[in-house]
Amino acid sequence: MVKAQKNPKRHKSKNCDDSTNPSTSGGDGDRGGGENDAAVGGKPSGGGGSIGQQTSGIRNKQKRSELYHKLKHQKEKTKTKERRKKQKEAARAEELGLEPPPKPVQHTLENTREADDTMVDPNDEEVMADENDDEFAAHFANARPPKVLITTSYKPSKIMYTFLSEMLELLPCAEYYKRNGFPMKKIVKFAANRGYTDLMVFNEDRKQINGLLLVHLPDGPTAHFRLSNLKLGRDIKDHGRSTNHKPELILNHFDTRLGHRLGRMLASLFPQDPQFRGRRVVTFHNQRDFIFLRHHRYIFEEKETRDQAAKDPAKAKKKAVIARLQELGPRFTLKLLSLQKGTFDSRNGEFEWLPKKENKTSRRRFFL
Amino acid sequence: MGESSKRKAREEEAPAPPSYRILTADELGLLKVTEVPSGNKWEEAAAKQRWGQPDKQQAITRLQVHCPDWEPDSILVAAARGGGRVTLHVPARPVAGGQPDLGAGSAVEVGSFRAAAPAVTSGRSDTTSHELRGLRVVAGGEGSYKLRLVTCTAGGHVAVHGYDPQEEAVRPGRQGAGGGQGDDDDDDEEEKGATCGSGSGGEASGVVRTWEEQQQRAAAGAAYGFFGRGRWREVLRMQTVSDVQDMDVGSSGRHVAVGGDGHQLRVWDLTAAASASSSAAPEPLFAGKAGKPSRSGLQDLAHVTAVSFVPGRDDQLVLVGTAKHKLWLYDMRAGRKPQSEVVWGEGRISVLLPQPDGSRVWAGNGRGQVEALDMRQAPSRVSMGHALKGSAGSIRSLSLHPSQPLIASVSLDRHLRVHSTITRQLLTKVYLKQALTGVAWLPTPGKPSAARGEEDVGDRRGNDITNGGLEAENGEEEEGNRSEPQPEAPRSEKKKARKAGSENGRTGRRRSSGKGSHDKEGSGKGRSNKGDDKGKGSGKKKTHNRSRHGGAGEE
Repeated sequence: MVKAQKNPKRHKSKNCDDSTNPSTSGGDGDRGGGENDAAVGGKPSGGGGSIGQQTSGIRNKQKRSELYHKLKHQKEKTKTKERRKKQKEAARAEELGLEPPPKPVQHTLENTREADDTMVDPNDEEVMADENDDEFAAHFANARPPKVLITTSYKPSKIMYTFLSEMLELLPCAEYYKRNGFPMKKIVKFAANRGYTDLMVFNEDRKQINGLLLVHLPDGPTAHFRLSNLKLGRDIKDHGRSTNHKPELILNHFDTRLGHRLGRMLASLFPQDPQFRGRRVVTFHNQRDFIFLRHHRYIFEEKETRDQAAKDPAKAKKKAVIARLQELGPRFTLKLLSLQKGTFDSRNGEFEWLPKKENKTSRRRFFL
Repeated sequence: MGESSKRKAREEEAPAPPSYRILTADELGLLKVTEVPSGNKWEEAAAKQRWGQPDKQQAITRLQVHCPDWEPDSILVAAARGGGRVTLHVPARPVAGGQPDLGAGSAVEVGSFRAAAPAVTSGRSDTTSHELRGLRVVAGGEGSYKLRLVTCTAGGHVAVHGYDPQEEAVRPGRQGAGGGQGDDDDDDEEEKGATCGSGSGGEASGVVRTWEEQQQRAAAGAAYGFFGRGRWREVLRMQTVSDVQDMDVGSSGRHVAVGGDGHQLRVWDLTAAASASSSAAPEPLFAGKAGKPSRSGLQDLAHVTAVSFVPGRDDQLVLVGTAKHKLWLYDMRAGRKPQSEVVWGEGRISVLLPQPDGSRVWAGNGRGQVEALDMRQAPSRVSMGHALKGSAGSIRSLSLHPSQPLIASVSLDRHLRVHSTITRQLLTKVYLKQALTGVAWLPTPGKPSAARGEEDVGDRRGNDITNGGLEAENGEEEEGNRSEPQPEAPRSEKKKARKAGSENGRTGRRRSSGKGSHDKEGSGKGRSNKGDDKGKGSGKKKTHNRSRHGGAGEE
């Protein structure tokens, strides 16, 4: 116990070092340091992990910090040397008119994403056949205009009301009805009877709005989301006021079959005929299984850009059309918690998708 | 009449037939065959054939495969479609030079019939009650029909159709009786009616078959093997409870158990109902009661979502799964209340699949969990265990391989998964694009010459693998009503010799059932049968054998 308290990091890193760099494991710090010194002379942290991991086995603070700064300095030097070399090559290539050497591709979480076998191919005949006849087909065929009923959990607070007022501005076909203690299944039934196409229930817990239940009616799928990072429009700097125009809709990166279905579900909240004159756009951007909702007003403008690197002053000014954005309404992040096949029936229903621990095989695996 | 279109698979001249073949049914009415390449290459499993055209109206709700000999030539696929129809398919084979090769992918629809209640009043618009909730193939049993299909609609209408293997006599025109179902073939209305296919045998199911269709049928029968030739006659219809969620038929084919939303388990005796022949609804043989109330005194509302007879107990034990994640085991002789109760998982129990020897019952629920209920000491002690992980969506169907310790599961997350029942390991997961509703194993074709030797070898291997513990069954133990047709002498000797060593019981049974048999096989398909498939737990795959061949010792 005492050992653990005294220097937990060192203890742990010693174990680490055992596996990564045997020369610095335990024992004599000095000798270990010396060896390490020689070993990593030329190559920075070749097999040793980070510099901290390499040096942490040395018990003597002075020696340790010497080594640490030495390694750090070496690393910086090699890095700048590489960078200068690359820049020179690029400049030379440009001068000669050749193609600059290719930049190495950066590995991001998105491009190292674990391949999903359910990615939707836009020309897939079976998927099209399925979607021709699914619960949202009537909406996309313009046969069933959206009509959304918004309600809350029991006993909402003032924060919920301000948020709802903004949501009602965001969704053009939405109406609010107070919860009044009705059980969920009854609300679903009432809404279906009154001809609503969707039901949105926002959940609040201790003055934090944290959940959204989206039920497509009459017997469509039910999606349960966790809502986070909510920022009301009035709290955004330089925000604008929304108008009554029907917005355009952007759905980004809903690639897999599940994502496609969810994208259609979100799209069925909005009318199919946007009014471009209103220049209002609502974006659902899916990245790493988080769906970001943004609400903007856009305007296209021509702008002169100056190309400073160009030698020719005449070519320096270029005109480009850019879009400027002003944020309206609320912004928040949604994460899908479950997708159920029928209407709300969390206990006895059938689920189309549930997050399962055994499916979360790696950090690079996403489902939407 | 349903789609009888097929899409021929691009048939590579694959030298080695696949190890396993699995048939799946989905919500677009497509039947897909997924093949695992030979050598048990599970990671390369992929959907190879697709039968049918995508059409939501033809959504398949239940799938049963009847394959008595575990031969690729005599497979009958029964699919319950939207609208209350049951379509029957036989995988087609290009008859070329006598070497049937079932790898060629297509299936011919050889019949379809309407399983829904007769429309009492015309112009009836509520058709949701016609959806089929249960479909079972019953082989053998007493009565004049050796093969029967029992169906049950959501409205509680149970119909039994028997298969009459005689060549259909040419008869134009309709039999007067039973005009109720009249207009059916063209049924693409909402109705879930299965048109009673070929037979209007003077029973209540008159369906008009035009001359051309009959000829087609005859031609189909000739080309497509045994099942194409006969016709389906309706044997019995009766009305059970009003809102059925699931139905099962006892192994002897005599009892049908039904349960639904608002109704507890009820069991009827089919033979008694047939003989009653009155228009009144027959009395149930057994009506179950709910289990004990919870500690706070609350009793669950009756909502039965899965029903299954436990085989091997002479149809007395019935296992029922409810919407409130409870499993109740009823013993019909012992009392109306369940003998034991297991609370398992969260979410409704959606599938119950017993192993043919009755030692385990696999249960799947609406949350994607699959576990097995151990029945060896039932009813005194039942326990759940042996979870199979990985499914993210509600399990729609399970299917056990008749001889290998494999279980295939199909769920709403559009994947087919195959697990090993012994090691619980996920062997393969195949994305099949639609919400899947049914799964069954199919036998694989094999080169006939090699197949002989291999089958034996494979069989023995199968025995070795499956001999341990619970897996000792192997599809054959099922109500072995199916018998082998006169097996060719030398082969059968060989087989018997080998089998004798490994599983006495099995061979014994098979041999004994060999007698009684079956004019079905008349056409002299001499291959010995591998598995008696009652079709209840769905067709099981014996391809393991086939895979052994060719690469001798490949693995």
